[in-house]
Amino acid sequence: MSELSTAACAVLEAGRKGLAAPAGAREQMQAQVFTAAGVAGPAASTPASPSPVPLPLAAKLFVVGALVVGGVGIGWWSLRDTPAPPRAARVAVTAPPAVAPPPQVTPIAPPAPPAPVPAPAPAARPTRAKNRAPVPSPAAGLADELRLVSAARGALVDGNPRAALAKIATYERRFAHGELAPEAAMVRIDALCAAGRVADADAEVDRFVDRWPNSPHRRRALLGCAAAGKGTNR
Amino acid sequence: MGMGASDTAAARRLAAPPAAADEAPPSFAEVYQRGFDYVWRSLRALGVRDARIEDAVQDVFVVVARRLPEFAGRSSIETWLFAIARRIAQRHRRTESRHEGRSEALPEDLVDTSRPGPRAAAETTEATRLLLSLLDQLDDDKRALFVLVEIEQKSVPAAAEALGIKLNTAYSRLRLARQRFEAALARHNQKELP
Repeated sequence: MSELSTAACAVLEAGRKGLAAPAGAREQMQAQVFTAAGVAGPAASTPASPSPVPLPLAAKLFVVGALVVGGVGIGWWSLRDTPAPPRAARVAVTAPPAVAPPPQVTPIAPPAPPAPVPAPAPAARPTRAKNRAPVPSPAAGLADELRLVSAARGALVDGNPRAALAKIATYERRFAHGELAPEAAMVRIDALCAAGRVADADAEVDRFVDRWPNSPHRRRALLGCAAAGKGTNR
Repeated sequence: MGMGASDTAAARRLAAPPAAADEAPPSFAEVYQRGFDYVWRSLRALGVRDARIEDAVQDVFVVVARRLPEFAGRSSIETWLFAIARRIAQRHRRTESRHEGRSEALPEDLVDTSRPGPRAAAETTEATRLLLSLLDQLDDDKRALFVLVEIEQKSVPAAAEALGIKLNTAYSRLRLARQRFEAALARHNQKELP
């Protein structure tokens, strides 16, 4: 087999030095990596960086998720240790907050929203409707999405991953390009893990990351079944 | 260029498959400590831009944490890390392609000297920029093999195992990769002539 020329070897030798991690990068990234990986920090044998540790990514995601919960009543499932109880989230689906959420705050990169059109007030809850800000018609579809995804998450919380998967399948039939598709996919991953279908969950993780590489749920998805307690954190 | 810097038992354990089936895989912390530099370097060589390298490194270790319990010692940890790094690098490159409107990173973007933090301390030399631009001329399969053999200095059998390809395929692919690398270098030198 032909070897590389002297010139090519020289390029390799000189160039690969610059590929190395800069000094201190390992220590500087340690806290955020361990947090993102859901692993307890190592023993004190490894010195931490003396510089201030930035807010861990998971904590940032939590803050964003909390903002989203306040706005549209979802996102409580974005991190499993979110303190909001599932029941509260289910209530939020049927009773959106009185204050209209800023439309630009959403965990999903949305297309430009269509012109707002007042939605008919639900007959079953007239008093609540009076207190609501005008809701654009797409919100009705979004509420349906929320109801389905929350029902799926509720089934999962109740220990019924098969029911959760069925509800997610229903969601995907009805909302092929739904606003909450990433959240639905997260529920599917968790349900597959809960059902012991780890390989299927891994495949779903791959699809998730390919489809939504910039989703705030991305790292949570990458944890896959490890986050669902099927793995071992060391 | 291997993973380990110090000749410790832990470094040896990471560089080689477990000797016995009942030997426990290394802990996450151990893999992080010993594998960080290797992962970083591999990701850079596989085309992850400087602006994305920390995200990519973090992604690799998130996957490591998820999959470490499944690691059965069929290959060395180093080989396993490379396979993960390769997938993450592909994802990041696809992300760039989709969301930044680039089919491939421009050579001048591959080394970003303006960003603060640890990246700013990197040796961002012209030689590295040239090397990365030449590697960009290889397709993904050839690049991965070339990186393993020519940058990480693995044997061809070890690289074939890491990439899950037959030995004969590895040899023929490496020959092609070397030819393309040389051709890309010749084109570069031709441009540089006055």
